[in-house]
Amino acid sequence: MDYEVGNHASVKACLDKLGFIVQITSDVSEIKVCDLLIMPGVGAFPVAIQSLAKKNLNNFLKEWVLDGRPLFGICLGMQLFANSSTEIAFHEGLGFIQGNVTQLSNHNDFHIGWNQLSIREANSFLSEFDGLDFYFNHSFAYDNNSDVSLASTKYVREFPSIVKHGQVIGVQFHPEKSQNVGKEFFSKIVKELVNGF
Amino acid sequence: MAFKKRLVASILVKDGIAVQSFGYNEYLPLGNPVILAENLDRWGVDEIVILSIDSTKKGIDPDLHLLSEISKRVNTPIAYGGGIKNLKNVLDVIHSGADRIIIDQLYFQNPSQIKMVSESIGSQAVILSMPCSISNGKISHYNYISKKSEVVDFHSLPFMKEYIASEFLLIDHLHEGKPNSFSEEMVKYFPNEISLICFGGISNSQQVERLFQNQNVVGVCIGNFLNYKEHYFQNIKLELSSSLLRNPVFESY
Repeated sequence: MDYEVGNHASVKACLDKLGFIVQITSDVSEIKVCDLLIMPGVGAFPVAIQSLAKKNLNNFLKEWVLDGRPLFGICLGMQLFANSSTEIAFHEGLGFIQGNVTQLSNHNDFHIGWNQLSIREANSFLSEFDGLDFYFNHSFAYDNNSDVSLASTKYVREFPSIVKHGQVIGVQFHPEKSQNVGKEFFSKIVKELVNGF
Repeated sequence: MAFKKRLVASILVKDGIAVQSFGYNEYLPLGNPVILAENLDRWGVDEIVILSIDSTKKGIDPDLHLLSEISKRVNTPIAYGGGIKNLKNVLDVIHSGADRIIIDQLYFQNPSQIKMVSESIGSQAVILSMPCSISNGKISHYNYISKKSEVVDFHSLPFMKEYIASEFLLIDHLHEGKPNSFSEEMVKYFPNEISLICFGGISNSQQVERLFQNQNVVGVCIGNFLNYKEHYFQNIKLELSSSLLRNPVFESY
């Protein structure tokens, strides 16, 4: 989904290499025929949520999720699924996955670089990624909530690095920028989501 | 340690060609920046810094075509600098595949623009470039447009406290291109809470390790010296503690 913030080009390039057919669009009629909707994200929460509202894509997304169709969010895209964020000022989120997005610490800590995932369930299909390094770039994150968290990561505080509710999944890291491990993760999660996760 | 520091590789681009730079005034051609970026991606560098070093001087916009070509081919985080003058340039650069932008002249020329930029793309995506040198116990900032240096107190600059950027690219511009010559004492002129990526004259693992002993040095950037030896990048990682950096990658993908 093109909602004017985000690194669509990198996400598309990664998925192209993996053999998926990808389209970047904000046109609802085009989105409706897709198997999976991805929300990439590089940007600040208020700008992103306002951009969705301006294009009336927030209401479309709510219908999409209510229909049980798969939705995947990356970084800021994931944070938009929360109930709220305090980035710059308090703003309501889309409310797809319970939780609030808050600053990693009161000291303006930026979590930029490579860090490990700790997968919560040993028999998850994600368990092969336990302990592997992925690329993160953020200073806000979901509050710790084990009910929605499939994986966590520690930097200053422990935070959910993968969250899930129904067919909506969000990751705080950037699989499209995490080299070979990221490509394997991306390929696997796309297939799982398309086939029902 | 789960969180890793970063060994970053730089590609300097002049007239569309990747170059080695020596002290900001001599250049040797290296080849096509896209091919270099593909190699760095295969070697498992932690981040690629692309600096289009003549864009601002010539008053031209960021090289979006180049950035787009590189981002299509690599799955490594990219930070891009050069020719960024306004918010439109910033958004174009991000939409062309950069994860972060590097700003050099703009924060002195128009600090209010930087605040607007960080509110739009998030300050985690903003890096400030600081070419510096030390003389008589003082640190000076080098303006590569006017070619003048000015003594600066980084503790008192207003934008240091506003967190408009997440990291500073600290460039030892005098020693750029000279092996093992980065002025390590430059780091102490910055407040501890400012995260630094050190660049310029860093060529061996001992120096990288010494720099990483500073808590606020989160990354070390290497450029020229990647071109002199086989597996240079991977070998530096091998020589450092495995808990400090990600493991090296030797395979081709």
